[in-house]
Amino acid sequence: MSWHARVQARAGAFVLDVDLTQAAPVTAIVGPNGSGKTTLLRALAGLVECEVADVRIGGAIASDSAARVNLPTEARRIGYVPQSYGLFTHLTVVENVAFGLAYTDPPVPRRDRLDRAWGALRELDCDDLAERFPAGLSGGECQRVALARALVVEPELLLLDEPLSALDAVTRVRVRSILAARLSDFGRPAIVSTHDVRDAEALDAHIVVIEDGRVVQTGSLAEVRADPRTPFAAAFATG
Amino acid sequence: MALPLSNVVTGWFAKIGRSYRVTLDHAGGLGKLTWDSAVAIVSLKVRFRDVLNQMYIMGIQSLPIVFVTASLAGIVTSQQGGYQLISSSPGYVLGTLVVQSVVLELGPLLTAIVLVGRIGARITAELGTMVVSEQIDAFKSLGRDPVAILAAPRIVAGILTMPLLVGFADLVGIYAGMQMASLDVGLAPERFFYGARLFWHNWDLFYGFSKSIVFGFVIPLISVHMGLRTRGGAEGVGLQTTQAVMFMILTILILDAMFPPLLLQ
Repeated sequence: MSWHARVQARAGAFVLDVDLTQAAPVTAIVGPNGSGKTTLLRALAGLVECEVADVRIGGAIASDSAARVNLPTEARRIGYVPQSYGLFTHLTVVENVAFGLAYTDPPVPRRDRLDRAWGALRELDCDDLAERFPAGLSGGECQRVALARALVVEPELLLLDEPLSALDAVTRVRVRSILAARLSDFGRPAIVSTHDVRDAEALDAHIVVIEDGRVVQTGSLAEVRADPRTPFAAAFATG
Repeated sequence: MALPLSNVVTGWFAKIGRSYRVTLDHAGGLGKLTWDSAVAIVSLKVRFRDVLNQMYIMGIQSLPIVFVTASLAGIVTSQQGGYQLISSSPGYVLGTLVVQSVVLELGPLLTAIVLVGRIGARITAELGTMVVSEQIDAFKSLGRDPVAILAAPRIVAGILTMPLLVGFADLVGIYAGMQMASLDVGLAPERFFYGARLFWHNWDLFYGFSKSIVFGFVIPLISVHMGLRTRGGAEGVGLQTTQAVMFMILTILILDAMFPPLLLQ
């Protein structure tokens, strides 16, 4: 499994222009607000129009502007957890998790979908929420349910947009350790955007620093700490 | 201080340019949505259950408001017709007036306006909320095509439901008009229907139902299109819903004005 992304896309006041290849199972995209982290994840997911795109996920071409190939999001086999979780408010938690299983390749038989969804919830220690609706859940619970929903379809690449930013300090520590454990079991690449060095540290992530839509530094956390190229990278690495 | 004339003229051109751009943008978006929905329908990606569910929401749940609107339309037409005609024309002409007005114009148009408020606004707000809460993004990332699941069933349901609602509105409007004619000017039902039959053309029914099919297509199409283009949180949903309602009403009135020269010549 691997991914590669060469992306040029207009996002607000700047142009996102990055060329990245997977260097570790988990990649942490870090950068100040408005630097293009979310746009990069959305470009990989096929949710924004790119001027230039060469995106390969799991060896398959997801987007190649030169060859005029641009798979829609639903055909990319990615798992995407947006910042506000995107849980379907009219479905229960277990129905939310089972939702994507009808369209996997090969499709999961109807009778197995709920079993698989319950299993995914158990793995994230939130099976007690299964019959509830998202409106009654806390931020940490929503995050775990959204993660279960993204993982249950076994995507080729998991994209998490600031998964811990909306959580309070105590919940953040708990969800961070659950996330780290689940991603290490996942066995496929994941890209996580974050502002917090503790997230990158817990996930043992390869760091990609983005500022104004451009990659300014990549490397392990130790490398970024040892030789930060920008003031933001220095501030991030030292926490 | 007054702006120089060149700035004013440049401003006008800029406004005209922006208007053209917005119009073309919407036209392109509506065309693409129509095409994508047609492809989803032809490739059997649209679930019958989703269409039935939407037909229930658009049809059965709209019956009470359509009943009230059509009754009042029939009653008012009958009263005003009675006031204007009864001293100068034979009474049965009132039957002609009510039936023709309801079948040709009031039934389809008022039902469409009601559906804009009840269904169109609801669809735009519902899909807009799904967009701003990133549910549509999650939807796509889970392998689902929003056009096949969210857009096409609503469009198909609109096309199938609207003629049924208009048929219901026609019957209710005519019955209410007939009762009012009886109460108001003492016109017996048989005289009312004599007048209705005297100037009746089967084409009129086809004309009214043609309108209903077009309106039934346009309302969900525009509301889905506007809903999926929502940006900017709760405020954006409110703004987009208001704009969608204006867009739908304006489009329906323009299409309504295009029908007589096309089909009543």
